[in-house]
Amino acid sequence: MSVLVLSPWNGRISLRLHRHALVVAALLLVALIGVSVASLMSGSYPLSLRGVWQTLTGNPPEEIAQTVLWEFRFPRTIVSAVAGALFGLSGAILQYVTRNPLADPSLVGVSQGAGLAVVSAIVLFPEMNLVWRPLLAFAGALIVAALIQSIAMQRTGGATMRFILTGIGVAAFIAAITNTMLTYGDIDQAQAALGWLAGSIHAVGWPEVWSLTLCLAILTPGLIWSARYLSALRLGPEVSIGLGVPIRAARIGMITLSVALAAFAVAAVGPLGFVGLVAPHLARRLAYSGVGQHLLLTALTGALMVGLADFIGRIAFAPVQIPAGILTAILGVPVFLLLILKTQSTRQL
Amino acid sequence: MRRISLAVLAICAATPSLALECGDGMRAFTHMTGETCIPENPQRIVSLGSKNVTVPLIELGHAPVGSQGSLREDGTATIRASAVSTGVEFDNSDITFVGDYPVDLELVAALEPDLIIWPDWQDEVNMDQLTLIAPTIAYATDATVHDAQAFYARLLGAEDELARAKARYDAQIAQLAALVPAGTTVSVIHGGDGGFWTSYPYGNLTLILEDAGFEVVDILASIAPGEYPTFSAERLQEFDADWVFTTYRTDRGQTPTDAIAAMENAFPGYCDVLTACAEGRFIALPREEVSTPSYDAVGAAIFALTTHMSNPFTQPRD
Amino acid sequence: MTKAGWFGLPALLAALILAFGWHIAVGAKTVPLHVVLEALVAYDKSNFDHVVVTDLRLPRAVYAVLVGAALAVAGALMQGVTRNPLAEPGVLGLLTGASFVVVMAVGYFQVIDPAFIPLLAALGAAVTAALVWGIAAAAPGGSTPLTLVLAGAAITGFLAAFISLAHLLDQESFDRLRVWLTGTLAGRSTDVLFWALPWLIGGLLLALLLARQVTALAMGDETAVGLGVDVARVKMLAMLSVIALTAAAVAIAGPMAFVGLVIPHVARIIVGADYRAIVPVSAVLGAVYLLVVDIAARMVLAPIEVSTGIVTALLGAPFFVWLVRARL
Repeated sequence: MSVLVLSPWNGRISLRLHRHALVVAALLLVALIGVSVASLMSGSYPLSLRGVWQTLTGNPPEEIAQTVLWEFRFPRTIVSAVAGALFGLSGAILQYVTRNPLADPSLVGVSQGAGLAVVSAIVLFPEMNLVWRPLLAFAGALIVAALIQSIAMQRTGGATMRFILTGIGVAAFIAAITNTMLTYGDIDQAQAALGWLAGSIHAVGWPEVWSLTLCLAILTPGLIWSARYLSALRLGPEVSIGLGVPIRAARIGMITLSVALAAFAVAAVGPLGFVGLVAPHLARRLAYSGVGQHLLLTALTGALMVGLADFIGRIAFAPVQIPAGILTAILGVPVFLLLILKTQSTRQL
Repeated sequence: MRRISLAVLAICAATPSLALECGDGMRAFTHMTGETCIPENPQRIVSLGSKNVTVPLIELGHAPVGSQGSLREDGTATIRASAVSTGVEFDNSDITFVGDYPVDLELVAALEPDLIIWPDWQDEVNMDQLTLIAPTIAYATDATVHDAQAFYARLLGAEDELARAKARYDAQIAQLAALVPAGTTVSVIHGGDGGFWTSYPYGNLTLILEDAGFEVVDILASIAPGEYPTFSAERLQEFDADWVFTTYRTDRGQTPTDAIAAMENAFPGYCDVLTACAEGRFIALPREEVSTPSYDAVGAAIFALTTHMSNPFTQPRD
Repeated sequence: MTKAGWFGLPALLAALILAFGWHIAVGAKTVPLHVVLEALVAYDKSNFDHVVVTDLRLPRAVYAVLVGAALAVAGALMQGVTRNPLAEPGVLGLLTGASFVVVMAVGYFQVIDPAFIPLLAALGAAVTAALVWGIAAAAPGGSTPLTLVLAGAAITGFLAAFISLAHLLDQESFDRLRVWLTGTLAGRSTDVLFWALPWLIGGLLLALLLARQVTALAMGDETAVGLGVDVARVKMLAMLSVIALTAAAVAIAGPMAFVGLVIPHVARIIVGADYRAIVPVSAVLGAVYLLVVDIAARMVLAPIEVSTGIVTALLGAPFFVWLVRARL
């Protein structure tokens, strides 16, 4: 493992060492493709597998099939997968940096901070251009993260647990401000904001696909760069210092990265809960692996989770549409409770 | 994306517009977010708003192929306000239920519409996506019955019917106005959320009342259009007027008892301190008749008002 | 009771009377102070100002007193018995559990008889309490503040998702509970108060009776056993009291978060570690606190009134954060 820490290149070589993890990654990828295909095939517009294939290859059985598949199902399938991956990665990085298995952007208020920024914009400046949403979300999330950090990290010892509890308090506070905002706001805008807060993917189109993909592309080098520091940080501050890692800078960099990942996902699909918490754990349980591989598995698991949530929400009560956020909470909480029951580090308090 | 397109359209609207070139069988149609090419005679309309879009369409003889609806307690869907104003429901027509808020985009597509009408409250689906399915026009939900009916008449080429309906409205109003002495005040109030909520205009009710010569009280006049503020129960007396109206939701099976219970809940014993109520001039009206952009519904509401104003035993004292 | 307690009680009662008076003296309608007094001593039904004071503000102030007292005492007991500074009906999910059952019963089964509301709320609170403690106790390391809070947060998130889902599938039935779910003192019905009162009084009396044993328990289970306290029995009874108080508060005003967190800590600062003093002082302080919070909810953004529950969260959440920083 210590070899893995020293350079990203060694990190890559070590990927080959965990064959089991690679198999799991392949299986996850197959599952993700399966869910995506199922998602592409199902919906209120009747389209058989053959029809899907014909449409994808440019011979749609009907003209409208083209629109349904390319403009509705395809973007939302991609966006749910990418947003799920972003939430998962954000949670994983947060968990590494805080060395806290229960860290999650939605649990500690980072998602809520992003949400508050966007809701404020919807209510106060309804005519604002959508282009600003990711940046606003990022700013809101960053402020909250800095706030929690500064409150929780001032004392040494037990800091990680305090981070979570502080986050829960801050999340409750932000939720209350958001509620005030919704009471104060015009009813139409309040309804739009509420719909967005429930976390739903039904309104996404290609612009969201491009903006999310762009975000992912921008942040990927950061992720690769971060893998080496993450492996060091998870061994604890003493070891990290011994390995020559600039702890403070690395930590700030990682947290910013995590916040950015969550914020961009929130800006696109709303604050989906529990994905960032559950995906990294499921990934870890599925296969033991190094940091790099674990991040890959987490991204796939997160993508699978949100993909499933959107798929179920779209189909279950059609034509009534259930926001994905409700389903990620219903799917995520039981896993979260299992984690509380199994996680050794809850002993720390 | 919708906001962007709105902004773009706003800019386009501000500049002197070039005539929109439409293909064969199509025509340019101006609506709240701009100008769109729509079929000369739309045959397969999908309505994304039951009360404000579906009902007037049915009334003008152009029932949509699909409509937004709301779920009843038993899980079946209903076209709000349609049962009382048109008699048409999902279960006695070929209209397909396409979801509530938001609607199911794919189901809309599956109906292969040639025109989609999007009321502006349906903001969880955006017009860019709808436009990919079929030409989509926007409808301002807070339009008065006159503006709404003019919009649909222009859309469906029903100007003659519109003129007749408008003449009928004027005659009905003239009959009501004759019963309203100059300076008669009025207000509209609802109990709920721990206080009183209202809006101004309130559906078509304040329009009818003002057309008939009523004057709304100051607290009502102070509300900006489109806002639904909740007032503290302590301000009840500011709503007092010669006549005070409240409404109950017939689409949810409510009766005046529900409206009165809501008032009582917000202010126990409200009737003793609201002069209009104490003297028998606090009237509960069915909400669908006063809030649906339909001349049939509005006509029924005017007749109800005429009946109340004709009652010699409940006239305001000097 | 300690010296400070005996000395402080009159001062606290004075504060309560003052807050109560302030609460009924202010509102959306300006009523002169002497008219407020007249309304209380010489009520004239035909004077609208009198009606506002006695029929609107007075009941609301009474609700604030009862709910504040109930939640504060429930919080004090929970903190004492679990020796967890963060314990509180809201943080540990009891409020959400209680409101979840009420919402489902009213929404799906059309239960509107006010007699059943406190019972349903108690059922919800009891099941949630059992779940949260069960999960926390089964976690490695036992029921620490962290595991309890996390289990509470998880259950809250889970039930909230189901409430949203139910609302989406049946707007008609669930719409009317929307405001109640934010925690409010406006437009509450006196019928529910009538049925909630026995639960509230029962819970308070039980809390007072248990106060001596809870003091021992708060020093640790072994100390308590040494002092001859039947630990399991006291914990059980304290939980019963907490559930009854939570149920009464939720039935009256909906979920009002963080009231039970803030007040017991303040009470402990004033009177020390003796629960025979903490319980009554918490009750009075809780009442004062909720009165003042409700004044703020009505006045700060006037003419818009914010839900009282939103204000308790705005004030309570930072206190929670401070507690985490200072006490853990």
